[in-house]
Amino acid sequence: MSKFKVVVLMAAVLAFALAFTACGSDDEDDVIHLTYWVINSDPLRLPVLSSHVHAFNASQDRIFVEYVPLPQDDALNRINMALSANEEPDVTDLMHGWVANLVLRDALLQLDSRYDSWNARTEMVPALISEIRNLDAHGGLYMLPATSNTHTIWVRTDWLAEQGITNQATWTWDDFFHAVEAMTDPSQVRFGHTLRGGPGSAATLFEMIFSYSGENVFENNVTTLNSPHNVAFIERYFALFGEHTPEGDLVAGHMEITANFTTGIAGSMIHNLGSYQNHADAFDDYNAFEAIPMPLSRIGTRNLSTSVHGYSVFASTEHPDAAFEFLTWMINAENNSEWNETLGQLPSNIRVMEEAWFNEAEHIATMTAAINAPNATSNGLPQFLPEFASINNTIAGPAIQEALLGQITVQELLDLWADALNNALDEYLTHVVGQ
Amino acid sequence: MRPKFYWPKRVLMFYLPMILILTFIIFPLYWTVRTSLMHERDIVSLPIRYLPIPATFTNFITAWDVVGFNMYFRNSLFVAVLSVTLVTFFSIFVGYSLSRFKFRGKNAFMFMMLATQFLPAAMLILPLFMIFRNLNLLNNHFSLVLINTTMQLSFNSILMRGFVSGIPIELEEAATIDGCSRIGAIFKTVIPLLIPGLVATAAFSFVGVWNEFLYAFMFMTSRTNFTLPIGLRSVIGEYTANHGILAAGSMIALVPALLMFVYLQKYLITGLAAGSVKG
Repeated sequence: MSKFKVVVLMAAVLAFALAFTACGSDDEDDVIHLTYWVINSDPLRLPVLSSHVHAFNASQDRIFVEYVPLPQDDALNRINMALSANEEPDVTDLMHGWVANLVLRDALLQLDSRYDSWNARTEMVPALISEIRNLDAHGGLYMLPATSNTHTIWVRTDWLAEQGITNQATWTWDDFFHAVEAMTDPSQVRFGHTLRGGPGSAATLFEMIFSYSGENVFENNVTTLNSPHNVAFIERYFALFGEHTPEGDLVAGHMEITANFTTGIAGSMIHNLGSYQNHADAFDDYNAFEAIPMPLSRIGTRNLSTSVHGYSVFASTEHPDAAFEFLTWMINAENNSEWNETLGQLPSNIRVMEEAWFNEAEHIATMTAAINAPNATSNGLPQFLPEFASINNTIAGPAIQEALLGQITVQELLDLWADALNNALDEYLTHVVGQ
Repeated sequence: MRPKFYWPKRVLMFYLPMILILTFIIFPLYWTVRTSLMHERDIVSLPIRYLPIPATFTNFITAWDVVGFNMYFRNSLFVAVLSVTLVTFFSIFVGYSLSRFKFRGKNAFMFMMLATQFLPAAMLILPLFMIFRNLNLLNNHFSLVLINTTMQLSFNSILMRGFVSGIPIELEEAATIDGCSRIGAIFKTVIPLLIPGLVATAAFSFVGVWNEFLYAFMFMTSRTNFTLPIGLRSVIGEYTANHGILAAGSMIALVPALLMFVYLQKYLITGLAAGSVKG
């Protein structure tokens, strides 16, 4: 081929490539366009959220919201990538454990001024607003709550009845262990419990430890995680593995333990209210299972966690007022009611608590009663620590599996975990709080 | 006359291992088909049902219409077809050059091409994101075509080199003597004989592009542009997974690759063998 033809061919290729880049999308109308990243995009949740977005768009013509559903397991990676490239959306929903890190990076818009002038703010559950403010060292509000959750023990009521156990509402942890052992029946391939040894194991174990101990996570800026009584408690819990739990639990995440529970392999599991719909779909008889609050601690209190999910605005948004307006729409009483009824979780809007579904849902009534009981305490999970989630996932999670396999002792596991938490708290107090 | 113990030996040493291996390979596929045809409640209930009775196509309809697999399928097909076409086209010439030409630095060049395969995809996300953003190619399928073509080209070029080396150079020389230019000789003599190799390259690159998740997830910013792997991942939620829809979506994603391999298997086997003869 002659040189001239080669030059012409290359020029054509270059022109073709440049033509691709001409595809821009500039909005020239006056409507404010917001992008909303949905991290709860499974077939149960997405239709509800998308209907709320469509209703918002239909209710007014100043703001148009486009939602982008993201796979939940990959959503945080996407958010981090977007922050690195300065390509964040306007609005996103966030999990409790993600907020502190984003606040520290100045990624989120502080909502205090808009919240204080919002007429319907008195409808928000005050405890949830406090919980969110605790995520910022200076008490700022960076998220509006949509739902809250707490860890519970899901248990087969029918299996317990077969063993003559009916006092599960007042269990201590001793009672829990006895019930698990009683429900195990190898002849029927039944295990009393299914434990979470895979993804999310650390968060569950953390909740259990402080539910048992009744103590605060930190005392005098040192964690109480590896106290001797906690070591003994976890040793007893891990002793269930393989004998009273399936061996496959070593790598079980929430899907696996839910499957074990709903298919009749295990008689109990520890998870939050979010798995309610799975159980309701699986069991024909609603009396076959129930949610019971975490048992009484060794000092007689009932230590309950609160995990809050909600909506946040990214600091880089060009339309903060419109974004906040959208947030308030998503958590108004009507939408908050539908959202939490779908999830089977606790609403963030006080008016929803007057509705029939809220008062008739047994598992919610049980949790609400436990939360409001005089002996209820909050174990103050250190979600304010930006590294809390990564410590759980990268340090504690693998160590838990090693401890289950007997490769390290429980004391070594909790010491490793405690060291990481103490270091994280030191960093936080020094560099964030400025102590 | 067959020797004594022919059939017992044949069963033990051939049929039995083949059945075991086939069962191991086929069982997940059977389980996915069975799950995709069952109601969600039946999937998680005991006793286990090995046949989807009662069967339902609701999962397929929901996946296609409601979840959006119709969009995802169309997007994946567009990206895959265009990427494979470009990869196949360019790899012919790169492979030909590596096979026929001698030039300084040829081995180093081949090594560098292979070395690009060693880079984890996650390392390139941020720089590529910024490049595509500056080129106004974010949320545009052509960015996926570009990145997939680039990623697939190196290995497939080296694969093609093997195929081209298996074609006698005398055929090209004969064509040249008859008046063909080099390009003419390539198109008239090399490519017709290269068809098994082209099919192997196309199939290999198709599978890679069809299953690509990370770049599609990071570069597509609106739901209407998502591809099948993103759609499948979205079905798994924070606390729930709709197993029926997940299985149905997996079957939808499987169909093009399955049809392609069924139709092209003859060429694939010939092509892969031909490429291995001469390196």
